[in-house]
Amino acid sequence: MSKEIIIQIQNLTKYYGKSRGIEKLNLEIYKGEIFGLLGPNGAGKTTTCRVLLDLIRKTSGEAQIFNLDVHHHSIEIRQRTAYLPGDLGLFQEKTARRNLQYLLGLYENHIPIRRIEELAGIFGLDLDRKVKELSKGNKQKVGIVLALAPKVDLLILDEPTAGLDPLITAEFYKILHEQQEETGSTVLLSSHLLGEVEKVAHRVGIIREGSLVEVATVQQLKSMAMKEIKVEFATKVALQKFSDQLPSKIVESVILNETRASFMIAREELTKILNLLSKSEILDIEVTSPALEDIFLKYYEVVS
Amino acid sequence: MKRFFSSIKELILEKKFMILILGGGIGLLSFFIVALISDLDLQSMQDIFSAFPEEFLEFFGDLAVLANPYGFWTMEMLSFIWLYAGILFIFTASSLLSHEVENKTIDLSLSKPISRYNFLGSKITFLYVFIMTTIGIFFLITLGSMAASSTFRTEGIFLERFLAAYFSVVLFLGALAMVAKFMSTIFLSTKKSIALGVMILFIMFFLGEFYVYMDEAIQDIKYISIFYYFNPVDYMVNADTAIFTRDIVILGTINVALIVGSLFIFNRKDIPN
Repeated sequence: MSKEIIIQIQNLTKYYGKSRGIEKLNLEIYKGEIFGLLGPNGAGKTTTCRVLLDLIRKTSGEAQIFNLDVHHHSIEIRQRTAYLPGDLGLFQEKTARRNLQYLLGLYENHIPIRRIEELAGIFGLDLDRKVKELSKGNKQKVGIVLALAPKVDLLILDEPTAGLDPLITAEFYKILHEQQEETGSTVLLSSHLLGEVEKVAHRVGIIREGSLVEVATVQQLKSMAMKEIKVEFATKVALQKFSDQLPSKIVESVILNETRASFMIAREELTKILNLLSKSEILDIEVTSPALEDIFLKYYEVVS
Repeated sequence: MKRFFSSIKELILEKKFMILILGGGIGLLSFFIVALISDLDLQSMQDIFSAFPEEFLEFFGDLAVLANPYGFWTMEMLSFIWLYAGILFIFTASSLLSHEVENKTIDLSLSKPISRYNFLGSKITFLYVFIMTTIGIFFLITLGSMAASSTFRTEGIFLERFLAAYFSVVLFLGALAMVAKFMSTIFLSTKKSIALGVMILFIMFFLGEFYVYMDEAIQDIKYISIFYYFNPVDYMVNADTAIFTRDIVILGTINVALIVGSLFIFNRKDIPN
């Protein structure tokens, strides 16, 4: 992954009348990285993707892809970009094959039918059935083939696995990962499913109320989080003694129950607590990092 | 241009049966009218019509027109073409863009390297191809029917008048359809654009055809009606080139203005999610 910037967003704002889409969003995505844009519904993920593709026009700010303005050079950008919308709309009366041939035919470069058939085979998609006869999951597969078939420099995927079963989801991420490694393309992956993004994304951005609140690698995000410590003491007295010495300023979410204690602590305070515990009679201790999901939810708890 | 033509081809493939059925259907109706005219004693009709009040004849043309085989055919077919075909063209024009928005296929299409001008331009071009082909089929069937009819053969087959009427019908129906298309570009909603397109159609019909019954001071309102610039009887029966030229120029201008307006508006619009 190089430091060449593929997507650069500065103070990007989009208002729909009076309601906020995104507000003063700043983001840089580098060449060859898979960037996960995480946030709940209405946070501004789709708005960001749609501004980047010039489907909607910014209210203010700047957005560039490949060093080109997303509005003034949108055709050049879209020639090198594949997009899978979150709310996928296909031509219902046409077969999956016809949908793919028509839409992929809009690219300047010819996309061989062999490539379409190969991907359809991997995902178990019947290309010759009309889209209106396909299940939601199979329709989503058409969208995935549409996004993965062209050889492009940038993929913008908005909730790509919605409606897919876990096996196909895993297959999709495997192919995405392989293709990304092979071609060195950049991927902007918008999702609210942290478990999925965590597995493939190099970096993650958390979007809240239209603005990015955190951008970090998955590891950095985890390390920023507090550690959860669960201790089982030998006696109630030992627990009481430990509880009395526990510095209340550095611990959070303390739960004391019979001989068990659990609490959260910042990573840098870990030594202090372990020193304190070494002086206690303990039977068992468990130090865990919370799941990315818990970290993610923490960002939203602030709002709620 | 490849993308432009690819979009048009896709629409033609989608609507090919509709074009054939509509063109053939109107053509068949025209065939029956031509057959009916062949069986009519137009001289007797002229005698009957001469007993009608003058206002009645003025509204439907004049005596010479009603008793002329071309006049009769034009009155029956071309003067009501807005009813036979115009409303369907309005429906098609309204849905071409807004269906894509409502079905969300527009996001996929416009995320590909096609400009908005090309995207909407291809739909507008298809609309005219649709109208020209449908009316072309109708006119070809009519010409064939007339060539087979001794009444029309006796009267003479006037290809240049047919050609003039054809262009006039295409531009007239094109203008009606483009009003709906313009509305659809503004609202991006099929229901709204059909409702407005049909409403404007009837208002224009009323203004263009019934202005003579209005107060003389406001009769100039007729100039805003597309119907006022559609006078097929004058081309088919009287071969009036002056009226034909005026109508073609004005209808052409209306079409161009609506096309440019639609492209301009669509280029500035957000695509709703």
